[in-house]
Amino acid sequence: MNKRVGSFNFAETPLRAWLQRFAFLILLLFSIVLIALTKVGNPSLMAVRVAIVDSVTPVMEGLSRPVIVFNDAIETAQNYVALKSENAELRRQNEALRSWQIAAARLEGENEALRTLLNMSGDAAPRSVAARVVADQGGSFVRSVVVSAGQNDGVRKGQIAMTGHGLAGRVSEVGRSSSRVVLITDISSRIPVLVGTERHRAILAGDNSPAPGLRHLDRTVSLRKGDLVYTSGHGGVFEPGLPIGTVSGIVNGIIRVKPFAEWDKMDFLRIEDYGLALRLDVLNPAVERQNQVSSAE
Amino acid sequence: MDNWGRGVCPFVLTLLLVVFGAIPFHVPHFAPISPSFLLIAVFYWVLHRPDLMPVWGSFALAVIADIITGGFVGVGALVILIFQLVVDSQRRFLLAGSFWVLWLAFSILIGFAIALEWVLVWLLTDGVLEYSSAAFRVLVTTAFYPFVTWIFVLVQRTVLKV
Repeated sequence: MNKRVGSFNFAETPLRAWLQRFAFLILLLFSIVLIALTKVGNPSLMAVRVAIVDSVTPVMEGLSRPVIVFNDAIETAQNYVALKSENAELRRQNEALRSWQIAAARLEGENEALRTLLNMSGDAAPRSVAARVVADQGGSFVRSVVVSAGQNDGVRKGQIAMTGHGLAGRVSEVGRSSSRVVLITDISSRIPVLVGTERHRAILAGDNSPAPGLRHLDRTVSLRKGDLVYTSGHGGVFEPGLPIGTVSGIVNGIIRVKPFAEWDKMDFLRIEDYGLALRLDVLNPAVERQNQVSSAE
Repeated sequence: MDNWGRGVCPFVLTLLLVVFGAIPFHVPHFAPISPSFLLIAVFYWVLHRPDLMPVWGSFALAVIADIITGGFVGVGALVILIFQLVVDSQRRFLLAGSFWVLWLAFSILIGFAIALEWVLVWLLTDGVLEYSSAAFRVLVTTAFYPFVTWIFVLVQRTVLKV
């Protein structure tokens, strides 16, 4: 009888035959072990994860090139069609922004004068790296993306990822040439924020939906739709004052925030280093020593 | 192409589809409900050429998919193993049916598979897990089934032709 094309024959040795028979059970147990290792954040498994993502990133970059070209072509065509109406809208926005520019310049001067009066140090501009998004939000259960910048580009765990409009997330894993950014909509994301001009404190909690909710907000406060939400800096993980989004309404009793970041148009992310990343990894002895040295200085 | 090359063809093709499924398409609201090419591939190959999609092959593909998507490593693998076991146990019945029966059976089975994945992730994470994107993912994967299957049929009739 002819053997089928491409078929494997594993029943060559008793060991292989045994493996074949019990493969299902062994792999089932192995997957349970993998889940447990992921849950406890096993460093070896994390290293394997990072290495695999690193090696797949060039392939994803290559595969995404035609998609980028196709999307660019569609966008260019759309831009030509909407040129006239968009131009009128931009003129109107420009007029509105001109008055805001004057107000911002006045407030900047006032702020500077008050800082000088209080002898406060100014905000240093963060070091930043622009990185292309090469892997999109993974399926239904995770809200994270992979970007094409890693340790070689100065990216470190805990650094902040921004779009042109606002906060997108935080770097959670770093490889040599790629990094994973957990988005603010992910179920594991918790960010201390301030809301509105009265600076009400709250926690912005992701639940995998496109609009994260505000938690631990004082029940007596009243918020309005459109109130600005930005990082408070409490806990030291995020730099204070990073724009996140605006209050969009109440859904199922939870106050929702519409992020400024547009998830569908996220081609690039700006990875910003405010020097806060070191504080995260307190369990790492090397980092702990480095923290002690910097605090002693 | 030699015998070994043909043998790994379904695995490599599925791996490419898994990687392809992860790239950004910039289609509004599509990413969280993007189809599971892995479920389609395992369903097809287990039914038509089970010798080319051994259990360790689908396990490896599921682990890679978990790693690329940033999910809990092992959850997708556990689900795909159970999915493969169920599909394999119903193989005779499914192969006897028409394409429509296969499509319906596929939609039901992936419904259970994605629901099981949702439950596992919900048990492993803190907080209330949103379910609508998982439900839509079942529909989108079902909708993609004929197109992806057509590619596999093409490969089976050309590359894997005796």
